[in-house]
Amino acid sequence: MRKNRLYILVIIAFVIGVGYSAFHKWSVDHVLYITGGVDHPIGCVSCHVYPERDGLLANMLNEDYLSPLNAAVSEDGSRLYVIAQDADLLIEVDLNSREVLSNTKVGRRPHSAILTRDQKTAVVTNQWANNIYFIDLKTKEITDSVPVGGGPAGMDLSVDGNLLYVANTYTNNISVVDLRTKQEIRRLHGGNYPTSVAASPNDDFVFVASQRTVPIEFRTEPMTEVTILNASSQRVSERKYFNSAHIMENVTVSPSGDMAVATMVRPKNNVPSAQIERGWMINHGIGVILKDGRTAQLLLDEPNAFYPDPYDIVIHPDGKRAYVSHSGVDMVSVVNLDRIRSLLADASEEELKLYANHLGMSGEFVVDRIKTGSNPKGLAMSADGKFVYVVERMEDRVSVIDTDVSEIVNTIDLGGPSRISYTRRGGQLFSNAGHTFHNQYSCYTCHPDGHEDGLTYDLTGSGRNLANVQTLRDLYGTAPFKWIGTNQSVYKQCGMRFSRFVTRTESFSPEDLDAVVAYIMRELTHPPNIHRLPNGALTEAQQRGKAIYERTVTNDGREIPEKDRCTTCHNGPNYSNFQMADVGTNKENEDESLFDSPNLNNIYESAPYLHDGSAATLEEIWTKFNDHDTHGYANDMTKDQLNDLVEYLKSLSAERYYKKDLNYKINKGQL
Amino acid sequence: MPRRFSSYKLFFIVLLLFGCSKDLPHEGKVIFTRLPVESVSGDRINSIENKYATNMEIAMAFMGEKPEHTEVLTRDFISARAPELSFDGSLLVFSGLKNEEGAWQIWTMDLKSGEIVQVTDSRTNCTDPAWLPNGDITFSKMVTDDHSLKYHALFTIGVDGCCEQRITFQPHEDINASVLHDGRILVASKQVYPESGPYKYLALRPDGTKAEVFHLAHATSGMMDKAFENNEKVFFHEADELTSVKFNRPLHSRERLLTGGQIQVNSIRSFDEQNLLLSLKKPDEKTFGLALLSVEDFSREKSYFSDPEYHILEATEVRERSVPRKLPSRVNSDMSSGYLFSMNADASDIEIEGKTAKVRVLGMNGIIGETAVEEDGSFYLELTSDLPVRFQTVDASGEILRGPSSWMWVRPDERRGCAGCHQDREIAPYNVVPKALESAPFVMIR
Repeated sequence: MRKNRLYILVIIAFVIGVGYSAFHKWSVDHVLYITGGVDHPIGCVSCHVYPERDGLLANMLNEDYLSPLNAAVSEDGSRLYVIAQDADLLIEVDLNSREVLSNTKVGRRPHSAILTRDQKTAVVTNQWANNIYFIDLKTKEITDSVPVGGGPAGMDLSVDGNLLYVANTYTNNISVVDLRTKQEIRRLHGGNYPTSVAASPNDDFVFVASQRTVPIEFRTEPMTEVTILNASSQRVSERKYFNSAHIMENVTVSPSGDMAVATMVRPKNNVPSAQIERGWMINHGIGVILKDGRTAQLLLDEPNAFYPDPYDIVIHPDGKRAYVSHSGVDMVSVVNLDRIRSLLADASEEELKLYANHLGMSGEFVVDRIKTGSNPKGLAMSADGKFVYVVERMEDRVSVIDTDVSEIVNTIDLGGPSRISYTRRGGQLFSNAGHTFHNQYSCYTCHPDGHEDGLTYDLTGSGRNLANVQTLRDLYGTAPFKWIGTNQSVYKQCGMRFSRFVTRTESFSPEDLDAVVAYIMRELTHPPNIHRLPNGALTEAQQRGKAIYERTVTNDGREIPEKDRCTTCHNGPNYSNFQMADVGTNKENEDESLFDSPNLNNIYESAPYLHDGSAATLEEIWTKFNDHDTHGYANDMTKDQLNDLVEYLKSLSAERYYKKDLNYKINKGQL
Repeated sequence: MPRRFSSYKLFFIVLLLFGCSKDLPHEGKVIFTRLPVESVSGDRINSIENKYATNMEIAMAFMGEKPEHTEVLTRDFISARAPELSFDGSLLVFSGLKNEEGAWQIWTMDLKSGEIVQVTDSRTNCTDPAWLPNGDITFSKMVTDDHSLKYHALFTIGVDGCCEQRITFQPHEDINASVLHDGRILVASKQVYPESGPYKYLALRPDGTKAEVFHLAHATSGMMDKAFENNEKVFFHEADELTSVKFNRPLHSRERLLTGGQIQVNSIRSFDEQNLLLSLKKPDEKTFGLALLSVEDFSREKSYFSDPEYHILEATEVRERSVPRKLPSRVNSDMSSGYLFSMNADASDIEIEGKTAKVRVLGMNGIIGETAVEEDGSFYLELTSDLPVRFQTVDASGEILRGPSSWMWVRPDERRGCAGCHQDREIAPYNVVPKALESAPFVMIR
């Protein structure tokens, strides 16, 4: 009996040993596959816990952060109102005691706040709810809600305080709201992804800056619009284009109205990325519109030091200094505007062209750099000019700069979680350029708001095999990655090759890589699809387009081969089978390649299209690049049918976005 | 019972703490080169020849100690100098001569065990080693080129002597390399063929790619010693004066410190974030000694160490230092060519009438070839890797417009771009697609 037991124990031990050995071998092979053979001490939790959006462990490991974005300071300097984007809150701060006084729940994904002239009401833009809230600052109650365009973001008041101008990011327009009637009285077309508004104190013009380039010809310079409205007529008076600039996140006007200044990024996406040294990939600075109508671009970078992702800009009441937050390098630059005035006063067109690319020019007008906490975003200047409040998004904190000494003299804790979770650490890394040579750019620079910047880059530095930047939103479960599908995981995508070709410096440490991947996979999500009716129903045109998308026969009744149907490659919740395909879009000078079928959720946001960005619109995929029906059987379609198909494509969005839980919280992993 | 358990726990914690604590031998001491005062006069101390002077020793002492307490570390060597400590402070690398017939080699010394290991095995002299962030070593080695010209080129090698490779290929004296926090090597470089101009500092990646001018020396300055970074500035001595440039803008931020000719500066090393360790000779002193100076106030000397019998040079304190960035390499050693393009050959600081029609590539033996530039002034070349080349631009009638340029090279599979020819080095390229890159590169392989 005893002997039998011993045999049983030996057999059990053997089975466990063999089982463990087999499991170990399988897991090592699995990890090698996932990381693409890159030496990375990846554990099970790296993929199976940290990036998870839901589940007990994921919820235990993660926190619900506030992620403040913008702020408004009261005229008397006693209160600061901070938008907490991830928590859907308006936070009221007592600036004397530096304590949070109240948290008011606002709409989904709030963006900005502004106080009415009587200082009694805060107006908040709810970017994912397509409306603005009016909040009584005494009772903290929402007194009114006004629907505006899609994705309302930055705003400003007319000089008399009766009108509110709102930049609607997702629908590319500007709402003019009469604050007396709480009615939207106009909606004007404005650039591509307009995000901020600044009204001139002279009551003559209103400036609206945009994030994305307007549609351009393939392989030409991006051009980003600053829309200028006539303040009297509330009509567009002029559209100024900043060549080779984009991500103009915020704009402001000097107190005398002699210049409007916007933050901007200057990508070198057309330049072969042979090197990163000396600003060969991306520069950062400000765009200026002078009273005489001339425009100028000035870099805030230096030859061996870059100040990426300039986000907000405020001007001191004396009009002599501007403060620019660099969210990618945790810094605020102090800019001497008088030096800029004299620099630009007599500058010729040739000189202005030179200044826009001159990395040494900042030495002429940047007078200070102030180190801040992680990811400084919105700035608010006190009315007396004594303080600048810096909203530190990834710290859940506000820092206070004393403008007399150009130093941070206080910080205000907004009450977010004190623990930095793995995912939060990933967010900090994602938005920081410290992992790029000379801090030239962060992940955010090409993926603003986790999306893409609408540009095509020549990362191989050879003039061929171009890469259209892809969105990072909702990547979970969409492997493989990269247009040519060679990356099985985001670990590989952001690993060693990434540092060789993109960041050109030391690659992420294994821990940092885990954190960045967790952040990308867990936190970055599409906004609600603005082309989809709130109840998920399709419009008539979209229904007709759906029928075309799902058709199996041609207009003349012939059966469409399965490989040429839309649904063959673009199916499932992400509208992709994640297989490689030849859709005939390889260009002559490119390496022959198959392409990964991209997922199509919120595809309307991702122009231009195709792997190299050669199709400016969805239509062009079939009108210009599908001569032989290699990208779906489409050449029998009428123009109306193509329009319907495109309407349907624009509406594509996973059910989770419009069914039942419209009020999900971003961090709860309910996506 | 619980108390007993706690005692055990405490014991193990203490054991663990002791086990974890790092024992850095000789921490706080200063390691330096000393040179007998009679062997060379002070004004000739900073010359190429004296890199290989005899009777030099590497020694160690505390800054405050008397010179007689100095401990010599290289007694078995005929001469040794240029000590550099690894980033963890445990391993010393230096150049040394072990026997009269041999050449100067690179050596390492374990500071704990005292074990000395030969790294290079060269028939020509090797000198001025510096640690790379990945644990390899960069150093200068005397080479003789096809024209029988002798000069130092820069090399890298593994600490175990493996995988030595040359990383600079120009007819330049490339010496006194140090490593910047961004992971690039900063090397003093002077053109020897044709002999031209003063020294300059070149910054390049440890794989020899992307070499570019970091700082141009003052025309009258002699050889430039190792430069060291401290507090966002790079310090070096130029014409015996302590000089600094801002790391962020090194071409236009030169600042002369400790001027006036009273104090002669030799070598400079970074001590910590606030202080520099300088080898200098005071007017009333016979020998170079070591001074610890604050980067905030160079007039305030924190401590001084000298020896009337020896010049004290090239000092470094025993301590841990932060490791610079480990830069990835795109060199593909299976290839024998690299690529170079110019965005616009006519974009230049040198204003000349005429438009570039062709670009001519010159090698050490004359013209390698020439090719037409595109209408936007761009050109795109495939060049033999690791071969020094210069460029001339010529107009349609064959007249030379600009050049020859400085020497440059491409590493195997390296891609390099230039904004223009003699273009201001602070200008980022214009965001246009160079026409030349719409087709294959013009092959100009020797």
